[in-house]
Amino acid sequence: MTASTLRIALVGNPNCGKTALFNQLTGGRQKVANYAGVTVERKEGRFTAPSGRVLQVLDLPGTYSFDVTSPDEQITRDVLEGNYPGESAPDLIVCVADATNLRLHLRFVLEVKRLGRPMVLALNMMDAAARRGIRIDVPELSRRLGMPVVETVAVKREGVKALMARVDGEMPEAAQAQADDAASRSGLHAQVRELMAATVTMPRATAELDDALDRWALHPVFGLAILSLVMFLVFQAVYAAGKPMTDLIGDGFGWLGDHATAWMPAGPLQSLIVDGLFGGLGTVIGFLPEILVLFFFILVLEESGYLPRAAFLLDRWMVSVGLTGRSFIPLLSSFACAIPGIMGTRSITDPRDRLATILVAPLMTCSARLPVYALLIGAFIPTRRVWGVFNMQGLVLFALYAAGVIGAMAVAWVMKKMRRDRSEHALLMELPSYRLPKLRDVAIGLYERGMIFLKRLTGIILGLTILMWFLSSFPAPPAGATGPAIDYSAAGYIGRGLQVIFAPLGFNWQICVSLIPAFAARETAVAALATVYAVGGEGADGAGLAQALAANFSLASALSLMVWFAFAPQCMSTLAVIRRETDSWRNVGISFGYMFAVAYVASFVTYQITSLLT
Amino acid sequence: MSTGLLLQYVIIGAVVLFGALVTVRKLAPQLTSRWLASLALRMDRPGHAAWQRWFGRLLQPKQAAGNCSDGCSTCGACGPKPPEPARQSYPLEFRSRSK
Repeated sequence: MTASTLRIALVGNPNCGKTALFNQLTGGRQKVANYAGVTVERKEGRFTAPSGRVLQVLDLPGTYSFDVTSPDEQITRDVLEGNYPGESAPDLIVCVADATNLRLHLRFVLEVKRLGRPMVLALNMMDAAARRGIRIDVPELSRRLGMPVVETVAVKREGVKALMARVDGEMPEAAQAQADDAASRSGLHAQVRELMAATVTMPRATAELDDALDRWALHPVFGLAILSLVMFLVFQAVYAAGKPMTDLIGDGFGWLGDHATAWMPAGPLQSLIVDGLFGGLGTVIGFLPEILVLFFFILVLEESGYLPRAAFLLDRWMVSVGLTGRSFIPLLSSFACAIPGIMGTRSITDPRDRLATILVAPLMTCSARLPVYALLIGAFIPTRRVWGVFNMQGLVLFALYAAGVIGAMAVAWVMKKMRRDRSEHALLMELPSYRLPKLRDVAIGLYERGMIFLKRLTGIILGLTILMWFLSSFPAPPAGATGPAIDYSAAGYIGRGLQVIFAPLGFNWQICVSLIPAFAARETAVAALATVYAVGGEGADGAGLAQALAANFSLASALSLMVWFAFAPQCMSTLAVIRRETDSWRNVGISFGYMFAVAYVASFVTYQITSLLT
Repeated sequence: MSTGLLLQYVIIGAVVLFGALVTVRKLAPQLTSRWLASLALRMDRPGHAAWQRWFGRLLQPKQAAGNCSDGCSTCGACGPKPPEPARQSYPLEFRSRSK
């Protein structure tokens, strides 16, 4: 760090736009969404100001007060007070406040001011405040607070110019530090009321449109009906919109494989490229469109402000099974990947509720499982219409996602029955204003998700696919061998060894061997199956693999495998994050053990019942 | 064994080694970082050839980004463990009358 580097910390109440400001200032692409608790870690970025000075910006988790109740809020307090390990207190604090909700946000501004450090107040969402007719006397507010106040609109590129100029200018004078105790805090509300009366004019406390929409969205009956419909339509759309593109990519890789076969001489290198790379990786990349369609809807819901309403609606149900409404957003994040979901539990104040959420989060169907579901559904479930409207395959996909949710609720309920402390904690959650999602933000979010998928594809999935091809191809069959060459390969021996455990679930040795790389990355099960069947001489691309599966699996085995993936222990990365967040190997063991038991029993029952009926 | 086939096996050997390294690096990032740092330290020493020192600097692992919230396998390593709150306090706690 150079001597001229200025360290700035962005702080404020949750969901006031700190991360959006951070992204605008630094050019970063940190996740933003319209609900509280998105940022649970300290994030750092740099930018060069117009004066040529380098500024280091810290984006800190939102907090309502220094009286912290959750691990993410602790990070913010530690950084501001200079107690964060290996880091001194920031040179300048930029306190961000939502201009449409100053009654709540100014209290924290006053609390931060007591630290006695140079400070700037950024009144964010000034455009929304203007639309609602809220008028703020900024010079008077600045005079009364004794600090510079700038207006910002973090979601617009031009909206941070004033802030940029202010932090690049002269360092504001620090207020005098004051003791932070209960007695001094009790006067903060009175000070906020005074400030509001003197500087802010609000026609209404809440937005008219929000109130109108909430009458429906938060209705105990209609609200739940709307939520069910939204989720149902999302999964229908995943299939309806994503499948044609998936088929197209599958055909493209099939064409590439055919050309590579014609162009290259037969031999092990041709097999590696055609069976391993085109067959294995090509099949997985084909599912990218379906993953992007799912993320499109998740991003739109995140941006709209609807998700906290859903959390509010489901709070009663969540509490009845031993969770809390606050668990909803971490659990929803787990539909993308369990890791951010588990990290998102840092915003849950009660350690008991947090642990329960961490243990059930891996049961939510992460996007890595989507390729497995899509492959098996495509191979075994007919594409007919149900009631003339719904797609049968979409219905099965919805049922699999629902199975994960129901499984999580059942596990949470069992945990609730097993613990001694059965007290319930009230849900206190801020409902943000509804917002029309910005196309640019959604597009950036989709791009980020696509790049994450491609990075996984060219990293861990590529590595595992090469290893799987190697194990499926070597050693060569002994002289005089009569069976297919793959039966004599290392993969063949490993698969048949594992089949002893998984035969009651209807898994053949090819499925058994694909479960090993799936423990590292779920999608790799598809690549492994594609490689094993391609090396064995059946199906090298997505469509070919589906045909090979249909020819080699029974419906009972396919349903059993889908159920296995709905409940089976998560990938190694998830277990590592559980270890890190709970600081306990015991919790890792509990998580792995219960999920293995549930998956085994559920798959066994599915296989046996379907075998009897078909 | 023909030269062409031998060449194919050499390429396959290199590709499989690459696959194994990528897999180990992703599944055990901290262990791999330690190995790489140790190897880099041995190579980048005064008195070693310039190419050895350059290779040593190349192997030096980058510091973890400490941001796992984007999703699995995106950062290559995990950031610091979250601190525990200094004390647990619940601003409001409602209990039903029956309790």
